[in-house]
Amino acid sequence: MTAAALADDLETLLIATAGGDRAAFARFYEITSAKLFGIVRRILNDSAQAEEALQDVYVRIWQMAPSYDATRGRPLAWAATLARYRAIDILRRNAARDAPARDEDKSPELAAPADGLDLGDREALMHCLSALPEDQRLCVVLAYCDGYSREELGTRFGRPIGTIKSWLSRCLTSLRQCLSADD
Amino acid sequence: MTDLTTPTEERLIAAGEYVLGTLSPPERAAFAARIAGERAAAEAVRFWERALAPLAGSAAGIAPPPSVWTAIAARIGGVAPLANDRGRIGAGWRVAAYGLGAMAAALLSFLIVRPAPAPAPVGGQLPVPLPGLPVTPVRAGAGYIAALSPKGQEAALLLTFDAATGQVVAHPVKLSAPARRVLELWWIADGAKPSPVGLLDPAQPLRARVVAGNVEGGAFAVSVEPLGGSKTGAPTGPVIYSGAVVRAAS
Repeated sequence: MTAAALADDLETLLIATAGGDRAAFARFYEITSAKLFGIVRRILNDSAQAEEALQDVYVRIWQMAPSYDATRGRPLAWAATLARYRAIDILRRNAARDAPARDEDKSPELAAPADGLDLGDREALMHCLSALPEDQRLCVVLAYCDGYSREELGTRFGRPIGTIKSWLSRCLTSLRQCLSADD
Repeated sequence: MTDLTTPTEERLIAAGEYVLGTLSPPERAAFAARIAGERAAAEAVRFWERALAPLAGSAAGIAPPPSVWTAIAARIGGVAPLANDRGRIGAGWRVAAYGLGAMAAALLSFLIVRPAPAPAPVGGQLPVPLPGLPVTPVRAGAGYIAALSPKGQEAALLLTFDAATGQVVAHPVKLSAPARRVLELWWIADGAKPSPVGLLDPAQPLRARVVAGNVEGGAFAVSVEPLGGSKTGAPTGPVIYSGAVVRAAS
């Protein structure tokens, strides 16, 4: 199945789900759950919490399917957004944790996903991320993908929180400019 | 940080940090409230959600354990999409759902439990036979019963079947589906192919109607199917229960 056909299929399933079709919802789960579990697992770094998050996310998808709006992104991107928020909420609720360790200098996130499940305009984002200074780019990636807080980023880079905040501000401002220029 | 940012930039950065997840919990709560009341803030959040989403694509897929779907299904009120009574969320389903274990796909024998009374006609009228149903030898309202059970064990499912109307009521007794699978009930009239009756919810009776065909010698069977049931109209997974129908004493 091509990526476009899959997206269409997910949209159809989501519309049927909105109408209360449990079979369509089950199918939507079958197609998307591994990806979403990967996303929440990466942020939470804990199986039990990731499973709890995933449950919450799908209950939320079931509830919110009627208000899904294609202008908010493709179904998988929309679901992934819900998944990330839930994972971050759980993460921040449990204040202390061991931030997931990772290979310091690599950002495998910048490579194309192996499963072909692209969640938007990857090219533009990668182009704009690659224009950022390396540490700052890694800040964005660690926050988005691994759920690093400002404090954890401070520890990771050996910088005060204020510096991290200004890094993030600068990153976001340049990303916005770069992405808008591409439009 | 020197505060040289304009309100627009400030909003854009706060929205970006909201989406990244780096705001402190109080800031996060405050910004969430702002999204609800400030259109531009909501738009800025959408911009970042869409712009950064490709990063989420890099997460390697990991199949969640089957218990997650079971719990989700329980929380949304059961998975059975077909002929089940919908609105009821049985506490029993919840218990059954959490208690699911691996199910032995044993070959099952038929066990007669007890005759059931024929279902009372709705509204006091004799049910109208569906076109093509045999008028004889089965009289209107004739009750059949089948009990489907693993060999030597208590019945998994009790079924009453009105051959005149084709009405089936399946009462789960001790039924559980393997994780991320559903159980689908089939009616196999004598000499006919299996026809789907519906998906079984362990906590609720399944009420459905089938074209009865040749009832004598007919049987019910339960197969294990992917979520949502068989897509082909025929059993695709292992048949784990089956039982012939027996005329109930009236």
